[in-house]
Amino acid sequence: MMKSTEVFSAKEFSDMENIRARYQEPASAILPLLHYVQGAQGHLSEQALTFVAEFIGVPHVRTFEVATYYTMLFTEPVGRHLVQVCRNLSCHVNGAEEVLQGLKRELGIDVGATTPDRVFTLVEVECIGACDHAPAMMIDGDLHRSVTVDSVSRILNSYREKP
Amino acid sequence: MSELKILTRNVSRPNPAHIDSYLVNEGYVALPRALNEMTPEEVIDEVKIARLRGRGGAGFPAGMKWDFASRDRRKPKYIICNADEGEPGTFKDRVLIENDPHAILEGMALAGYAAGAEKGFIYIRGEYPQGARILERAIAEATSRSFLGDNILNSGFNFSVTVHRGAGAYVCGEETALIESLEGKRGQSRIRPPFPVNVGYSNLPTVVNNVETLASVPPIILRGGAWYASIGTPECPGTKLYSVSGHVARPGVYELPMGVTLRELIFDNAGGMREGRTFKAAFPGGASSACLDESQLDVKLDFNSLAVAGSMLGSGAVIVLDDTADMVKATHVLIKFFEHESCGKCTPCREGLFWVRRILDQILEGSASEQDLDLLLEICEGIRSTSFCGLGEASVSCVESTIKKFRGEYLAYLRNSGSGEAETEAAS
Amino acid sequence: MMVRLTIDGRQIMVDGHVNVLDAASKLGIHIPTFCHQARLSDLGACRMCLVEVEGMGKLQTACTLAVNDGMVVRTDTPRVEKARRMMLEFLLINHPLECTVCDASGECTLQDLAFKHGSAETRFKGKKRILRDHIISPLIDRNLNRCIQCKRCVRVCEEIQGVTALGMSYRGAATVVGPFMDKSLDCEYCSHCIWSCPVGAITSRAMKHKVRTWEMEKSEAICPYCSCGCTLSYNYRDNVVYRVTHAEGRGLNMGSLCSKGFFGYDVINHPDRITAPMVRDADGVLRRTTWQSALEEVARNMKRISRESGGKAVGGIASDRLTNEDLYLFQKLMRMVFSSNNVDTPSGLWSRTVVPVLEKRMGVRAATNSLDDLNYTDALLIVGCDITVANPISGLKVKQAIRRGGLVTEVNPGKTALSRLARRSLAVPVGKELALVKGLIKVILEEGLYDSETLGKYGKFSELEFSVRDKSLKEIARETDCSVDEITQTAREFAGAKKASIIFGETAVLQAGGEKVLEAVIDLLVLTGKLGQEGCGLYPILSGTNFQGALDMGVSPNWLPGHAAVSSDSERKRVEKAWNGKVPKDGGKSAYEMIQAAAAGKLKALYLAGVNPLATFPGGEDLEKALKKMEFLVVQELFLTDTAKLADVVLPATSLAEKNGTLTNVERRVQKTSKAIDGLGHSLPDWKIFSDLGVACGEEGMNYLNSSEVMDEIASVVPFYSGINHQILADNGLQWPFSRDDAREVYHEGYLGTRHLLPEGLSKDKQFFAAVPVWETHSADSKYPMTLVLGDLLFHSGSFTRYSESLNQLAAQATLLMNPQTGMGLDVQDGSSVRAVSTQGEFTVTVSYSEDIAPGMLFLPRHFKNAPVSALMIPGPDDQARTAIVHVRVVKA
Repeated sequence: MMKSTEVFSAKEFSDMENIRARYQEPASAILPLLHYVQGAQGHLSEQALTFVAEFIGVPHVRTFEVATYYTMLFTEPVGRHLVQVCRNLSCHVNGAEEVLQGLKRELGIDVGATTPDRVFTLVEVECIGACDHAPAMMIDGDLHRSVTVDSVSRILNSYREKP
Repeated sequence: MSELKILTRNVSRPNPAHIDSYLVNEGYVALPRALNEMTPEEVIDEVKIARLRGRGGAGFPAGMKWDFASRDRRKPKYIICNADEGEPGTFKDRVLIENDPHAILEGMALAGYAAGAEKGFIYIRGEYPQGARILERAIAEATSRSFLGDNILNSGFNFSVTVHRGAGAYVCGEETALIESLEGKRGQSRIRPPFPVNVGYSNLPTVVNNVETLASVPPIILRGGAWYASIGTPECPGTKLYSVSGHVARPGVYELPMGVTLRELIFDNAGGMREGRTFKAAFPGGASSACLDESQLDVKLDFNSLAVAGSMLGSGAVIVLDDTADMVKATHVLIKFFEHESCGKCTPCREGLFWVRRILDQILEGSASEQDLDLLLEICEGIRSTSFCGLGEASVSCVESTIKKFRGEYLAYLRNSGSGEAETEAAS
Repeated sequence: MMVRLTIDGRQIMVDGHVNVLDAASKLGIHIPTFCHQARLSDLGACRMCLVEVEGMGKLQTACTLAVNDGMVVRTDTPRVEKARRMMLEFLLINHPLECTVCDASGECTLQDLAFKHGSAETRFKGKKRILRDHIISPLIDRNLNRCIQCKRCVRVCEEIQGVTALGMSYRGAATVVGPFMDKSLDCEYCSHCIWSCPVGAITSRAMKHKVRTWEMEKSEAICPYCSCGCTLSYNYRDNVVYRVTHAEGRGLNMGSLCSKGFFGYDVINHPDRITAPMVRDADGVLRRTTWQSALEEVARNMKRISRESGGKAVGGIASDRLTNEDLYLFQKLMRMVFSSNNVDTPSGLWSRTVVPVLEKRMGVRAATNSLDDLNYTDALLIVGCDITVANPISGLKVKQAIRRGGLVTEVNPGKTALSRLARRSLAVPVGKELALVKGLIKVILEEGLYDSETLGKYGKFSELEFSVRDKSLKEIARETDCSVDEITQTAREFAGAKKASIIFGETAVLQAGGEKVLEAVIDLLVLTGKLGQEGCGLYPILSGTNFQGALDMGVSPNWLPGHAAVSSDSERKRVEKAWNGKVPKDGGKSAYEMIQAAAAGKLKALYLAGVNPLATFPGGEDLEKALKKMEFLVVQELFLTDTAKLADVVLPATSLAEKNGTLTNVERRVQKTSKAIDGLGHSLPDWKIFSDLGVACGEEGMNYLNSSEVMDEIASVVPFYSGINHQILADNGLQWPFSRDDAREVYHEGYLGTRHLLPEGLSKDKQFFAAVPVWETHSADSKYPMTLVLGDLLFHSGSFTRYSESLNQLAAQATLLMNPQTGMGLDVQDGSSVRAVSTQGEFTVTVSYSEDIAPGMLFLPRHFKNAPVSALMIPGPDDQARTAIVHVRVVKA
């Protein structure tokens, strides 16, 4: 058994206990716990996945299966800010491709990559439910609507200094 | 036809998500009425009379679902609100979640009372963190006023709700995949039968209803099923939230009686096409639906009429394209989406979509031939007829319908095979 | 309920729970599939088994479709054929067409179905998907690009093996089958994943690129590595065994095997095998010679010593890995030809401790029930046994019971592979098992949970009540490191279960006073009425392969074949008549007594068949001295072991793959094992060597044509083997007692023989309680305060598998396992060297910290040369030489 102190602070551990307590079946807490751990640590490390598996009493491989299945979970480190550009049809026909090119230029990286200063990771995502204000993108939890090539730089700058 | 605001009655109010805003407009009136004056069977009957059909896409009668679950003797039972709104072009549930969360909660509590469940989950897509926060706040508000929790309004009925965030998997919108995901597994569809109403979450009876379906319940209990059934068409009563996006002047969510035509939706409500542009095509039920062309503008947007027209209503996500749209590229975008979202469980969806996307790549690159169009259709037929779940089945509608209706655009790419234009295209 | 349906125009009646795929196969209609496999959950993912069903628009997967009365199914329409062709085309677009170098080629379902149904040309243009791959294990190879995502390996790992080391990660076309973090495989190496893979995505590295599947022949045999008695097939070519396979549904293992059975075959053709007899020459060097001269040498010396010093100066110890035929002739040779009852096996201690208790209390001399019952047990108590190691496939049956909701409680000094799955795992210190079992009895008495029929027979349980009165449950809980609740719940579950059994193992009995635990266990069974019926009984389990057969064959100083007492004149006469020879009257010496007699100079000649005392017997240097003192030492072996190096004559024997014969497993099942390859070099089957030696001694009664003839004689001498012959054992063997005229003989679902002993319950004279008055079997000495459990690892069997390169890849060195808490108390770090010291001797070994072992306990595997456990074990008569538990002191090296 892995000890919580190897991976988490006392506060984090108690938060995780609260999350687990919300479910009668501990295994159901897997996604909320992985969301929480990723929020706290940036990504899901091997240690974190091992701990969460033992914490909810499932085989280790289960957390790995789940973590790699869902696109919002990362088993490799990502930048401090995650830039997610919608590539689906409504955004596509409203200039998403141009916005993406603008982001690539501005960040100097390709899709799927992280800037060398580890501030931004750029990814394409499927529909984020903001088709009425296409093209849309999400940075961390914030939705940015009707993005244009010209607004890209301003939006990114507002994140550079953010923790 | 103009808007009829039942579901969206609270949307434009100030601070709409707050419980006080909900309460001033007959909020939480249906729940106490049901608890005090109606048996669970009577609640089910009212929803049956309303002929409310599931708004998630399949259009299954909600009253019947509740009935099946209530007849199952095993306990505990669960109500799951499917808020995993992932169908491209759909954003109507987001509008309800962010602006009228209490209507959803009241609907869930009513469903719980009817089906005999004491526990509810809202499975909300991971991409809606804001929505999840709003729902959690609403649950706290409702619990503090005894609209949720133990012994609701001293009725002896208990019902609690937990918000559960997804993490990015379109297929979890399918109810059995959603349940798998909620159980802590990879969200992949289960074999059916058995159906979730009998064997659902933790293998116990579980009702899975869409956000919009549940939000429709309080008005039905308040004004009666007959009132509700009088709206819309006889087969598909009630109002429907249409998410309109793409090349229209005023994209947004419009609540209209079922049976509104595509033309009325676009031109009477969504501001018509943008200046100087003309209508070319629309996907009336999101990425999963077959596209309609100009000749089908007068098709009624309800479950039955769209099925007759060879498409489907789905979640009511109407993606409109004008004359600037490249239908092959649009199809390519959609297939890439499905390939990305294929869970990988069954052979045809996993391998077939990979192949379809490769051929579309080749068409766009200019390295395909006309024979490939026939092959494409054959593969699509294979995927549609043999896939494990609805994702695979519906994934190829876009290819089949665009080849059928816009074959010329494909042929243009094929004719340019090896020519300068195609090469420039590929190189850019 | 039976239903009638029509498939391809033919009607069939089947059970209503059957799916269409299985119903069709009953008609001989083969519906192709990749993902469906018997014993695994339904998946319906590969879509290969699509069929047309009247009234259903879409094609349906036959594997997930339950039959319905009146259902009309077609598997032969153009639409079905088209769908099949499409699925194959889909699977092949990304499948590398490297059948030329694929080890699965020739038995690959994809290859076969593509050949049968597929198109000859591919319409896919462009690059195949290529997934990055790497080596995940020394013995199991994964090839991601060949994988067709049928998930059979993943399901088998979870659903059959209960390990869940494999999973599906990522998704869509990028889905990957693999271990946690896609790193290295950490599992039981049961080989189920290899066996279940329908393509070449998971293969054995042990046979990688060595042989083509179609070049090998197969021969069915019984696994040599434990008392479970699994059926396997040796696959061989040119007299070399290249692999072991197992067929779904075959044998009591239903097609399952463990790591030893699957990977341990490489001992057979090991380059170090002895291939010719050797005799020590005048210079003291072992030299190769002919069989004739070697046997003459043995005959001359054994007969001379027997004649000069009496039969008591001669002894023989044979391995319980040998067949019944081998063992029977061994004791016949020792008794009739060399006039000695000094005949034993290393498991003889078990026969002299456990069996008398079984005899006294129940009138049986073996496990009462069938292993198959374990699948369906409602409550199971496991005392002093890691069933997943002692009998891995019996362990699988327990895992199935757990999946079905069976409540399993383990009482063991350490955690096992079951602990994670079982209802509870009680880490009771060695020596306190008795207190735990008495605690259960106490709860049952106090709460009135006993069987009313038993109460009716006994009137009251005053003696038993008295025996558990002087300790409170609280005290018992404290002593056993359990909680009162755990004891109470276990008792309630056991008493309340319809089918409840007890598995009883080595750790409990091979300690001083272990019989008392067994007495208490039997009291518990009697009290709760869990005897004499299906699912209720006692399984005393020793891992030694043919320990039951050795007992049945009379390889025992006090018992003749058929559990007949040597001391009984009439029994002796009966055997003498059958043999037309003499059986010595006085009881003989046990294995350990023989070594002591050797040390004292009283035993002068010793015949060792397949045993390596220097590795497994107590005594260390004393033992070596005793063996060196022998006037004449014969070692019959596969390898030149340390013991063989001391011998005057070394006789090359064959492995189980090279001979015919029978083995009797832990559930009294006599099974036939067949020869796959010829004996290596000049090696001979053990029975043949004994036979030839008997003839060389001038005893024509020892002349046998083949092992089948030996069995015929066994059947005439051992009453409960009456009617058994090699022919009748062809399928699944049979469980003794068996007799052609016996009323108890039953045919049941392919089983032959007696599935459950004691159908009428205990006989009148057995209706009593032992009411064990004490609470602990023994306690540690203050000078040697640590309790060391000497046990087995899943990957090895005795010292024999030291010769398996494959198994050595999984474990080749012993480390001393201790709880970190114990380590810190002793100021000993993980990975440091310590000296383990017992009253007998000591050696130095590396420490491994493990949470799996209870604090205060130590565990050491007894397989390896780097930890010569012989040095620690205390020799002596049976009640001293309890070889599983040794008290030691641990000192920093």
